[in-house]
Amino acid sequence: MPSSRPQESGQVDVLDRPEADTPWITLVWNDPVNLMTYVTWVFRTHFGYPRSKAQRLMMQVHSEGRAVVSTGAREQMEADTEAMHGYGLWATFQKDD
Amino acid sequence: MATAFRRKGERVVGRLDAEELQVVVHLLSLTRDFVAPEREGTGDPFMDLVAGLGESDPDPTEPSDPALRRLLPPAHRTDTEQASEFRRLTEHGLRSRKAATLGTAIGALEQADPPVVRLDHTQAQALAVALTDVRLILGERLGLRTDEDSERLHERLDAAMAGEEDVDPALAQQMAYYDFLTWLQESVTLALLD
Repeated sequence: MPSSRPQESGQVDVLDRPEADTPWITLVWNDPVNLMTYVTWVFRTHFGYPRSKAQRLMMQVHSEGRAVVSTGAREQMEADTEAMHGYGLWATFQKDD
Repeated sequence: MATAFRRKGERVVGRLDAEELQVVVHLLSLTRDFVAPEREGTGDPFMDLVAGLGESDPDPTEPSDPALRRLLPPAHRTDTEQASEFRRLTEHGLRSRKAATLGTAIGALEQADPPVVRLDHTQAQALAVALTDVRLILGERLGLRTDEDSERLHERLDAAMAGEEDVDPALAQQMAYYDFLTWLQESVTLALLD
């Protein structure tokens, strides 16, 4: 799919882009096998999150059963979901509604 | 007797005796056979791409084996159409990558000179990820469904070893493997986080 380019002579102001452009999320679900240290390491390694954010998300998965680990365009959420499955975490993606 | 892995410069170094190493390599190899794609790649990325695109009958259904279903989970909890489409597009690649990661971990351990196991960063990462897949399969076979089940496993194993609880020997061995791999994965992951 070709990426969209800014219109050279159009009237579209980038600041007016509706937020609905990125309404998708990736969720990671708790499971009884994955270790807390490992889940933290995955969030740091794949997303590049700082230790504190990676640990907070891991604790949210652990205590609430799931956490939103990334937000963005659908294609990116699909890529994140596939990557999480590669690491052995159970991830899903959906519209953020 | 195994000792924990630690980061030493660019390396992650620990100790496993020859028997422990053999068990880990064996379990990693079984897991690689289990998860590798049913249709082998040709070794040529372009040919594989063409073959994947030309696949006439991709199977978008969930695997019937619960352990395989856990390794290749649905990408949506309720939207089965989205989950099947995702599975159709990603399953072959995901299985190939898992098999390759398991292969890297196996190769690294086979090169080790026990009891010292010296891994570079890529090998240590591959081992941490590969151990997840082994533990997911064993965990499924052991019927671990909740965090409490996992926490109880260690106690149940101790009780079985002490003869306080009557556990089928084959089951006790699976539990011992799981418990050991949990320790090993924790140790390698902590070294990577260091």
